[in-house]
Amino acid sequence: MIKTGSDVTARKKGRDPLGENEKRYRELWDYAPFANHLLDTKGIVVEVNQTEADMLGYTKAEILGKPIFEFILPEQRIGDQERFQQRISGQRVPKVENRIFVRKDGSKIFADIFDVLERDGQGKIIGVRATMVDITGRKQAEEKTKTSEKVFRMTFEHAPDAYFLCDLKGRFFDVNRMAQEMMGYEREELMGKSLLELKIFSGDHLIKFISILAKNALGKTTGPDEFILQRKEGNHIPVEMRTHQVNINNMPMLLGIARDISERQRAQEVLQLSNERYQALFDRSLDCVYIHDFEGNFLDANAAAMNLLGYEKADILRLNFASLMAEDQLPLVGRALEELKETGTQLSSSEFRLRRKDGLYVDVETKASIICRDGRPYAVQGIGRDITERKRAQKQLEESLEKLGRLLNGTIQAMALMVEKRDPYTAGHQKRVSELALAMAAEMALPSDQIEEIGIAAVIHDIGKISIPSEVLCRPGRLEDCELSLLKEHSKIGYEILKEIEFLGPIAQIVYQHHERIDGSGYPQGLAGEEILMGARILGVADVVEAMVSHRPHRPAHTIEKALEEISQNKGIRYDPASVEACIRLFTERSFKFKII
Amino acid sequence: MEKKEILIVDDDIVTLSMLKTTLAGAGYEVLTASNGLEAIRLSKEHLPFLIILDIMMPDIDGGEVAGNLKKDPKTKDIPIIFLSSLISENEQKADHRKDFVSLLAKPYNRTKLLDEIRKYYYGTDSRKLD
Repeated sequence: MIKTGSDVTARKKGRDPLGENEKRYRELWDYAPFANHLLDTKGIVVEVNQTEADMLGYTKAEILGKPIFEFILPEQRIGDQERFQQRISGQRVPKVENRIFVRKDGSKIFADIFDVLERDGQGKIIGVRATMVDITGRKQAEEKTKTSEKVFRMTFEHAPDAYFLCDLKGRFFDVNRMAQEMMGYEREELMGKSLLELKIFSGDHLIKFISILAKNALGKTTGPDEFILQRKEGNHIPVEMRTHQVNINNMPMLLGIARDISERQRAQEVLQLSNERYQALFDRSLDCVYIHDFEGNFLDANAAAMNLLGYEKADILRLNFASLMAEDQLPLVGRALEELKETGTQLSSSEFRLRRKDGLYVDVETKASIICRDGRPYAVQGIGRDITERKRAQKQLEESLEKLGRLLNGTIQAMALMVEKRDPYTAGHQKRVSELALAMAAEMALPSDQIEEIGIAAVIHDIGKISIPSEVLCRPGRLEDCELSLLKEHSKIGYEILKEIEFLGPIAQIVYQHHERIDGSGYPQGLAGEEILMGARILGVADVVEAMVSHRPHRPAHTIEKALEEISQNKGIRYDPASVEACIRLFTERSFKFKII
Repeated sequence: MEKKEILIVDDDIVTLSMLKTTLAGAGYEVLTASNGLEAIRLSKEHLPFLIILDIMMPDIDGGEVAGNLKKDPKTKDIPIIFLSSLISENEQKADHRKDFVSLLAKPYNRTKLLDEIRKYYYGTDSRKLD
């Protein structure tokens, strides 16, 4: 109605209605949603609408009068010119798709072209009118899809696992390289065939696979399931397989993924073997093997451990290492654990005293190390050995050594007594010399075993006198020279008597040398200075001091002062200076007194 | 060879009755089960000489039924003929008889089915039974 009205108005106003319509048509044409141009018979653009100018990025003026081929991608230009010639001469030519134009800014656009021949009143061809649709967006989307398909294809083809696409009946539709390698068939041999047809599975694995077919048919995902697959060559490999239902071009299909697990199975076998070996060692070891956490709670223990402690396995798993120990042993556990945390393995063994279920104690020697799970320390594994018997034997040995020592001591005493019985004047002399020599050695801070050997030597130092006739020993007054030389023999004889006895120290030598003097004036060998054993030097001083303060048949007893004067006067001449100083210190500073009278 | 009992298992009652007719007509005694559990129970009770087993069944599929029977020493050597639409003509050719398994496509070919049963019955291709 409005249109009619306006037409009337236009007519009334007497304007040219045709010119107005022409203008409107031009505008419509210019901004139509498609590009449109008219070419003359040489391909020169004689009309072009604004949409096309915008599409190509030029102004209309820049396009008009130019051959259309100038705007076409150079690679397509010649082909397009030929086609145009055929078209213009009235031949049938195929529709133009994917014509590529180069815009003013150099970018490319894709276009589909629909063209019609333009004729004059006589039907003569005067040009070609073409409509172009920009399909760049669609083209790009297609390219993108192609690229992602390519990427998918590559991923599929080179995947490290076997991938295969089957229809729901299990017939191969596509397989990747790994699948061909795994089954030993070429792609062409597999296409359209099924796993059942190729007898890839047999026995229990066939039945298992049939179950998978049933699940797949219901659209269920399966796996991972382990199968033994028979290759084309007839050999078998273990695989792990999963299947998924997928849609390919709206068709439900099965995507199967299989992985060769030969390596994994081999590794598992090795692991299992080593586990079995460990278990055998654990079970049959004669030593106790136990595992406890870092708080000491038992996690496992072997038969030997249970046997040693008298517990059942169930009992021991409720116990803590510390609960088996006496209070005073607890610090030892702490120390052992500390060492473990630092080093991972105990370098030296620990000894513990553990309480058995029946209340008895056992001595155990242990050595522990930290064991890891998944690379992290999780428990302590220890090996323990029952050393109760060893401990008992050790104690017994110590006791018998002590007994032996007492026995030896008794023997020495008896030997000393033997001499003193024959020589009443020197009765108790040896014991007193021993008392003084021991005190001197202690004063000089000698090692305890050396002190002990000096004591022993002193108590029997005159044992050689046993071979001297009693008349000589007991006779009052001065001795004749021959008697004196006989008496001097006693050191050597003492040595002869003692040398065969296996003392811990040089007892016989000390006895031999106790009359030697450091200036070489002594007897029987005339040794001097350091040639004389320290024990003999001490004994020499103690012997002289004791003898002087004792009564003798040929003289009365001297005072201690007189005796000390004698040794200090000859200190460094006849007597060892250190021994003399020690002796003097004993009497003057430590108020030493002979206990034996 | 006295025992001529065959267990047929299918969740489709039409297939079941058709099979029953075919087999009874050929002189076999027929037991039927319409689901997996029943199939397992009947197999263990009756120890049929052969089982014709559908694959796609609700709850327990044919593969699982067979897996169960193969684990039991009593039933592990009972031949199983899988009869299913999941099996194609070409797949029937794969010979698994050493594992006491055959594959037959559904819809089944009467002659082919009876032939397959005979192979187990006589251990050969002979056709003495008819």
